Amino acid sequence: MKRLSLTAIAVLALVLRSGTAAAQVRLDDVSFNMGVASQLYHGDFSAVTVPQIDSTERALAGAGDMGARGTLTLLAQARQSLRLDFDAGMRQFVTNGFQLRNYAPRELSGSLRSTYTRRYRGGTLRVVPTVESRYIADRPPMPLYLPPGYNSAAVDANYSRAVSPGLAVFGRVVGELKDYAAPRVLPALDLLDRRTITPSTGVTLLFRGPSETLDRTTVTFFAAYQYHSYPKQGGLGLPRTDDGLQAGSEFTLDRREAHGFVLTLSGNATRNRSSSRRVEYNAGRIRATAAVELGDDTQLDIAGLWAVKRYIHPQEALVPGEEADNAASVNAEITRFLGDGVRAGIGGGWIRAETNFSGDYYERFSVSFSLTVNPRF
Amino acid sequence: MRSPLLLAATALAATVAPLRLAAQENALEVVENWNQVYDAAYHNYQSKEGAFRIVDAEWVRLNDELEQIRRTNPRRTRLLLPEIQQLSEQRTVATSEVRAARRQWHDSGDALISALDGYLDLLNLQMQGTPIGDAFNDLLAEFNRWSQRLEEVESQLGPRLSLELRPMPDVRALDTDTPVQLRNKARLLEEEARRVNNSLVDVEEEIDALRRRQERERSSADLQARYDRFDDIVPPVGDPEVDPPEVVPDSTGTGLAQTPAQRLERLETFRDEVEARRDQLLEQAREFRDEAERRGR
Repeated sequence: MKRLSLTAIAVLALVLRSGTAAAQVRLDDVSFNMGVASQLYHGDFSAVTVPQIDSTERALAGAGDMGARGTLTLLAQARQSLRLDFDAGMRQFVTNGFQLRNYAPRELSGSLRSTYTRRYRGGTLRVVPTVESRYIADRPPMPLYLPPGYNSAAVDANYSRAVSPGLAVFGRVVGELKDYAAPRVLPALDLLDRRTITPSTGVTLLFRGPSETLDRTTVTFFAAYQYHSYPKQGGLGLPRTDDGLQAGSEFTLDRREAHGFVLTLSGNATRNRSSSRRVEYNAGRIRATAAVELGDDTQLDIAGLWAVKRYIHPQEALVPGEEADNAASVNAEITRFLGDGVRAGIGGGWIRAETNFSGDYYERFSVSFSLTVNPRF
Repeated sequence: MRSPLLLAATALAATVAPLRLAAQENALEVVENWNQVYDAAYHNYQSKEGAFRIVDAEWVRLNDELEQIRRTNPRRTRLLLPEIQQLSEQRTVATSEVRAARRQWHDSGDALISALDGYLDLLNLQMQGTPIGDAFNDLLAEFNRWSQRLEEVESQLGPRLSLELRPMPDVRALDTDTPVQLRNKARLLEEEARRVNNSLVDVEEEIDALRRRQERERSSADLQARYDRFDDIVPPVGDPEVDPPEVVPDSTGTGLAQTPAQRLERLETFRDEVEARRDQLLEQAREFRDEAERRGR
């Protein structure tokens, strides 16, 4: 009788507990967007991977873009989860102001990123494989700078452990292959092909915001070693390899519910040494983003970047893919929430990149309008 | 042919058994660690709360006294004011200490609950593969022990927003009921409907807060995705960046089982259920009143 009771209790317990961990495939955070933008470029910047030359120092571009993104939750249990993020987009330009001809670049972009998270004895393992592809047709000459297309694959494995409530340490390894798939007429693009492996470690502190809200403050400090290999660069049969040391921090103040804003500040410093003397440098970068609610239906997003690089040895030639030494950018958008899952945004941006040794630069001003729809399934 | 298969099965069982045992020990270790942290945080909170109550009671007493003697006893008033001022400062410090201790207690409670969920799941899995016997009974005893602890911790942490409707009250009209009795029963149902309706306020508030946060976060994420899609704000300066990883859920004590979107959907479904229950109760009360009127004629 006792055994029967025990069995009944166990069966009941199993039924109750298994019900809490039911796996379910879900589609979340889907968004479709369409936008138009007008961009003004000027400058005399040179890029190794842009062989076409046009004597103009001022070009105007109009662009229309559309894109879609979303998250597929394949597994969501108490101890593990698997999510797949997808993103795809297309952008078509019309240009004006070039001396030779007016170009019509078209960009296609797609990425798939899966995130597998699993808990182990007080820690969490997160593995994030990503594949990404960008393609650009009819890439224009400078000063209309559009980054070249590429295919890339990366795996990011991060193990973090909460050592006390609100304090976690992490160890992480990121490996990435980037192939610029140079067409036959543009072999210089292959110079950018890169393999990178980055082990890093750090600590994250978390402070909860006002109770009854999800507001919080996080501070992360990290240090990383970066190994880069550029198989198509270098001389005498020796490919260029770089060893970088990077240290940085990120501070996020999330007061969305209490005060209607989120602020993120991050900065890092890099010491890059290389088998090629000409690409040994020290660099620094500061990034800031903020989202501020302006009333009930409006939000302002701002993103800013400041980057600086100083070479150790006198610079005499451009480094493929790293032609600029200093850069700054500011982008902002005001978003109006029009209805259930529909938003309109008006934005503007400025970016400037320049070299130290020649003073060459390019600058872009842009204004844009976009509509975004988040359908609910 | 059978003996190699048997051998392989035995080897597999021998390999898997220690692995399961190791997983159980690891999970138990995590639970015990968080259990200790939780106990310490809970006692710390109780002690801070106790200290606050003492200061607060004295502060309230002196304020009451001040209110009574302010006009009649200026000498005592002059003595009381600095005392109240000093106590006010102590009370402010004690309040912030209680708040910090409560947050630590809640954080460690969330982490313990999360660890317990994982451990109980593991025990369940093990019970499924264990034949009835001593080993099974041990697992069941362990399961019951930590289930009780889970209930205890949840009860100590106090009521969170419950997404369970109370059972429908068993109120029926009997043939022998007088009109007065029927009206009383209708009043009971209306009172229950009022309670149910009041609980909607909390649910609506949480839905609004979650939806607002979700919309805003999604808007920022969509904008960032548009920048990233075409590398729009990536200048050609080299130096590939290392972004810090996202804060891991277990450092916040948050479970992985539910996305914010799922939580929102659960709340919306619950709100619909609550509204339906309220309407059902009011409909039933109306029927009782109609019946009372009919019988009263």
